[in-house]
Amino acid sequence: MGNPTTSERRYQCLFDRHCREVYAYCRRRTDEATAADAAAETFTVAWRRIDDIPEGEAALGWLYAVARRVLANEYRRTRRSRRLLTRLRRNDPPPDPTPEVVVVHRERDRTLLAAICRLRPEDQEVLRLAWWEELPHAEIATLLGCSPQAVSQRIHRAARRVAREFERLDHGHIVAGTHRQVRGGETT
Amino acid sequence: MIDEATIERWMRDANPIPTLDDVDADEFARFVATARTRRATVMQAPTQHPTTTSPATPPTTRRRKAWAFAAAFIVAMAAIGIAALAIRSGENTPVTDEPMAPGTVTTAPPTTPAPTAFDVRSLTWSRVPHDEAVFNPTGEEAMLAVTVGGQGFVAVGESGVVEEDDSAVWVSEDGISWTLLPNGEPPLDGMFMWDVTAGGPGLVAVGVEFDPDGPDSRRVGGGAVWTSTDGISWSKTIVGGENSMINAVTPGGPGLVAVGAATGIVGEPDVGMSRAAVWTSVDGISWTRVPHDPEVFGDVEGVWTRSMTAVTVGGPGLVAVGGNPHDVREQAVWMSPDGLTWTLVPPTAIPGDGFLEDVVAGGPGLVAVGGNNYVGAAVWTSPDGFTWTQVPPSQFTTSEGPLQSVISVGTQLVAFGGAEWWTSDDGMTWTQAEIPGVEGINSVAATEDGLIAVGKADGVAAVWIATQG
Repeated sequence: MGNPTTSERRYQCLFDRHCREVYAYCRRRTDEATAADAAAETFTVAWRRIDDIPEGEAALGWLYAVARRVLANEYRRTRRSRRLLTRLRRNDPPPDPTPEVVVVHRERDRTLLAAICRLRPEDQEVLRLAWWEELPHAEIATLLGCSPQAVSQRIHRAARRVAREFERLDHGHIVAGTHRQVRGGETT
Repeated sequence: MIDEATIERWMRDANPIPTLDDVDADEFARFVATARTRRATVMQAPTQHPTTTSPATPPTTRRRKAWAFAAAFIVAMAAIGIAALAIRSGENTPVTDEPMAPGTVTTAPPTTPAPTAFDVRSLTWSRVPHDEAVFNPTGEEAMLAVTVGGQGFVAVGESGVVEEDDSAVWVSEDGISWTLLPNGEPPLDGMFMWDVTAGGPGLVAVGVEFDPDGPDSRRVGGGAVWTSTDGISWSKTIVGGENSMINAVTPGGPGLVAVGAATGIVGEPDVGMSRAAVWTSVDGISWTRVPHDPEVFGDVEGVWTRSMTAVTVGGPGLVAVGGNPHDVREQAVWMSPDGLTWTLVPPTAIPGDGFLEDVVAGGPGLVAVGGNNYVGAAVWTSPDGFTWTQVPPSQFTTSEGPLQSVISVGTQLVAFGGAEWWTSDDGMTWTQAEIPGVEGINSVAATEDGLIAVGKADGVAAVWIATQG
């Protein structure tokens, strides 16, 4: 076996440094099988485009951007089977959890995730990048191709929309319940 | 209203992987193995970079297939010519796996389209006012396809009733005022209607039937076809057999051609819908599956990953696109002179690392749209279906994701993906636009003076019309 090329060394460094972040990014957005596939595909793209990847910390943003495309493509490409599977699951007793709520069982979390899913994809993404990947606004701006100020505005607007959708889905149950608990605590 | 800080706190709490330490070790090991295997495969294969040039001279095997295809085309066309003189169409025949004799073959390379009276770029989009009783009575409605037909327009998709899921049909005379037909009872008791077209007795819709008695995840009753003379009254035929799904339908071939996915052998119980499949019909009522050929339609096990997603009249007769039956990572193009005999175009003839979602006759001959994993949207063109050229990906750097559908509007082309729509005069140069308030467009149809689209907005099914001014 010959010595690894510069490209191979760079790829290996990139993989070792960021594979966990990229996998977590994908896993936060989909089921295990799809996440593994999408994360692997992201690094395949990275190998093919190794000369295009920026140096330093910016590389992770580049990988996130590719992972985002890969997931979007996967979602669109398999939309029919996903729709079908969703229906089949709903008719199965007991229903399988949907991919994004595999590890989330609380009613509030389910309602919240459902509310987020009602947002435009770019609004969902800006919230996840900010609060799940915990990226600074400047990095999100680079990733989404907008200014940091625009990121702040988008987060604010998206959060308001989530609040509205949450209340619409919840019909006041969780919030009212929370308020009742608080009031109960105050009175006792 | 709940404040932003609360939403932020709740969302952080709902993070499925709060920290990198929370990544499951076994899951992660499987991902690493997948990544290594895939990279090793890529390193062994020639690197596929998006290209703007046609592929090099086809290899010998491809030439051989090309000659075989040409010979099959000539033989088939001769047979069709003879058969067309002798066979009368319109007879009801039972669903069968035997090759059907063609009736009146309508497939022909499309004639040069006439320019429309409008420029698609001058259109103004407006959403049809939402009516909860029509577009969201159960909260499960989705409009998946629309066509001009019936008494004006017909849209199909899915609906929901208590503990049931049903196919759904909406009709409209003017595109603005819509009616959801009563469903839940036969024949509108299927699972989904994926596509609808004018043809057969008037209208033909395709989709998949639900089998409430099926075990667990194999409750798919089979590919189904619905027909109607007026868009109001429908009949249903289960066509595909167990574990099949029909994705798209077009007038062409012996009358109508439908594509989708099925088992290798009709009735085979233990294999998912892992093979591409074609069905043909003279009248829209009686259908025959094209005999399965593993070389053409695939022989790999798996579920729903390999199927034809779209079909159009064009090229040598008919062209279909979808998932490569031999490699789940790649996409594929099939061609047929008549709908009865199909050839798989070698994947090497499709440059770039992307996938194809839809195809239409237009531009230099054929235009296919889809996406790739580096730049969201991707477009390919072909003069004949055999040789494909990728439109420079640099045109689509502003896209958010792949394109799902493309239609010809006179001499122009319109492609859709998510909330984006792209227009082109020649298939090679594309311009992006956006429809305000759209979550996603599922289907578009051209009318005499504009376009009509169905999709989703504000979490519910929605219709848009695009007119001049």
